[in-house]
Amino acid sequence: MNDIDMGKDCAIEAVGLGRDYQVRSRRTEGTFWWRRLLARPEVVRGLREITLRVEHGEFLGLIGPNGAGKTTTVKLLSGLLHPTSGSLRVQGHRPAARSPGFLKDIAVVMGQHSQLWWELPSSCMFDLHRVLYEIPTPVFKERLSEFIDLLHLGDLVDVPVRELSLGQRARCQLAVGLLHGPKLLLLDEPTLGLDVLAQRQIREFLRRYNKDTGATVVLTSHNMADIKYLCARLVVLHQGALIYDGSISEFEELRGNTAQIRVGVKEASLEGEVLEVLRRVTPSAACRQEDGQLILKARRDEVGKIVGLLAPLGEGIEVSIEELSLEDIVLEAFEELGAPKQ
Amino acid sequence: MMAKYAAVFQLQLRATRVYRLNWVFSILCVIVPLLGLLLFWRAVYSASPGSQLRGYTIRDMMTYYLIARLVGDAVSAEWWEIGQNIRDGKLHLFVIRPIGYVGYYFARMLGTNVPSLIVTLGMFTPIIVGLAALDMLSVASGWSLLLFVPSLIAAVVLGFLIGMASQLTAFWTGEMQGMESLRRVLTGVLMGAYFPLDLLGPGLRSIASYLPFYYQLYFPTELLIGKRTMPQVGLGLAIQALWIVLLVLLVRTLWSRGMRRYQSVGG
Repeated sequence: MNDIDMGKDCAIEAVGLGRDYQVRSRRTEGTFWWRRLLARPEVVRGLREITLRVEHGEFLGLIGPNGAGKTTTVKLLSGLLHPTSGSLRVQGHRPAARSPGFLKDIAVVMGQHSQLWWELPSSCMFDLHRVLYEIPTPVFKERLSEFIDLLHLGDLVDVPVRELSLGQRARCQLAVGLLHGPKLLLLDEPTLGLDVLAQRQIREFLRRYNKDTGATVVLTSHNMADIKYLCARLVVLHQGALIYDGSISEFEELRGNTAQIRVGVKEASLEGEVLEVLRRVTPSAACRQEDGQLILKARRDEVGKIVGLLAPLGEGIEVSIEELSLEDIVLEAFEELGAPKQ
Repeated sequence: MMAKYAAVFQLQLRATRVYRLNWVFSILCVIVPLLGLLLFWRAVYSASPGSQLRGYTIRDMMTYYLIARLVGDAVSAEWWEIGQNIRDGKLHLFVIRPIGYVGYYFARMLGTNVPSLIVTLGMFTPIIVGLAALDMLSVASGWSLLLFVPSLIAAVVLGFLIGMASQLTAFWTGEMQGMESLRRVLTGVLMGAYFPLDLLGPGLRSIASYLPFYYQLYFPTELLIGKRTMPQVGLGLAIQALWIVLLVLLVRTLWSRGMRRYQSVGG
């Protein structure tokens, strides 16, 4: 069986992919290390039978509450973990074999870890990666000048990394990580802790890279603005299971409540009446009270009806309607799902 | 393949150079207590001039501390960040690069220790010249001097392997800096970093001579001072080579088992 040719027609093909972990019992936590070694391990399911097919050039957002299996997925895709069940092909390779060809095809960029050396300028790292990934010099030069341009790096590449700001470091790191022209990018919180400008620069760069090179990108982020801006496809994990796979707009529709109505009650006597009206529209929906305002989430098509019912109350109230952000919708979804079993 | 490791070595040379001012200070920090030790031993020996302590004359003792310091600089390999990378998950970034992790750190160790040895040697030159002028230096001649070179190279490799093996235990033990510090002090004694192992007496010395730490520092040092006979030197080189083989096997096992464990525990 030829390892390379199978599954080469798509970027990622996972069938029934599962991954269990063995963890030492919690009860021995904090006791002597040799007790922890002797404790019988328990099996925890990190990822349960996931089936996923990602085409070349897709931009996929991977979200889920902490402990949902995002990191496990990224580790499986990059070959750091062996699957416990099912099969996985990435760019036609079996990732866990970590063949040189596979390693050259992928990149992992993590927001909270950097491979830059503190005391050296990033240009040194570019040179190192040119050698490590055996990048031909003309390709290297062209790509580097393009990255410097797109990421607005300029002379920053000659400044020792310890003198750079967090945002500058993140951009340099991204350039180092993608210098070998990977066909699959695995991004783990690439904008973690960055200011808005740096976030936007990185986002813009990733979009360009995906469009220009046709590389596949899997983005794990808690930053929904990143996801919304970049990802055409959303995958939601919860407790190791895949609970949604589709477009962002469909996800929003599916969640239903995408609008938020705020009712400011100027006359206290009207409050009861307002509550009465709202309860009539959506008996199940809970009204939140915040800063003297009543807040109600609703489906977009219900907004008109609700406003109509509130209208007779006239001058005594103020009504404003907002679109819910993806962040709010996701947050609500996660809250409904409940806290993960850690 | 070698080009990759050579590139890492060169990069580390560059990074090491950044700290050259730090070095001057850290070497001064070494020289001051060293001078103190030399004065201490001079006082001990002055009680009965011309005496020997377990075969060590004052010249031997002076030379020992100088050489041990130089060799110690070349063979130290304490890369705390390896254990750190294992514990905090940064290892992920390293193992997906097309270069071996252990080899990567070997190249970095050379890039740190080689210039460090050269600089220390340079700073020690006046002291060495001074002691030689006072006839306070006893250095072996002929074959021993020649065999010092391979024994030093072997000691560098050995030091790296010992340091790597101890860092790789982080796969199993988690956070244990205290244990690590204790190990460093113990192995410091066993390799002769504090005093010549001959002072322990023949019994303890011969026990120590079965351990790898002995060959990390003490063996090349006593070889250079001319304390050992030719057959002893030959045997020592053989044991050094044997320890290297055993430790290479140990590091390989720790790495592959450790990775397997890392992969089974995950996060």
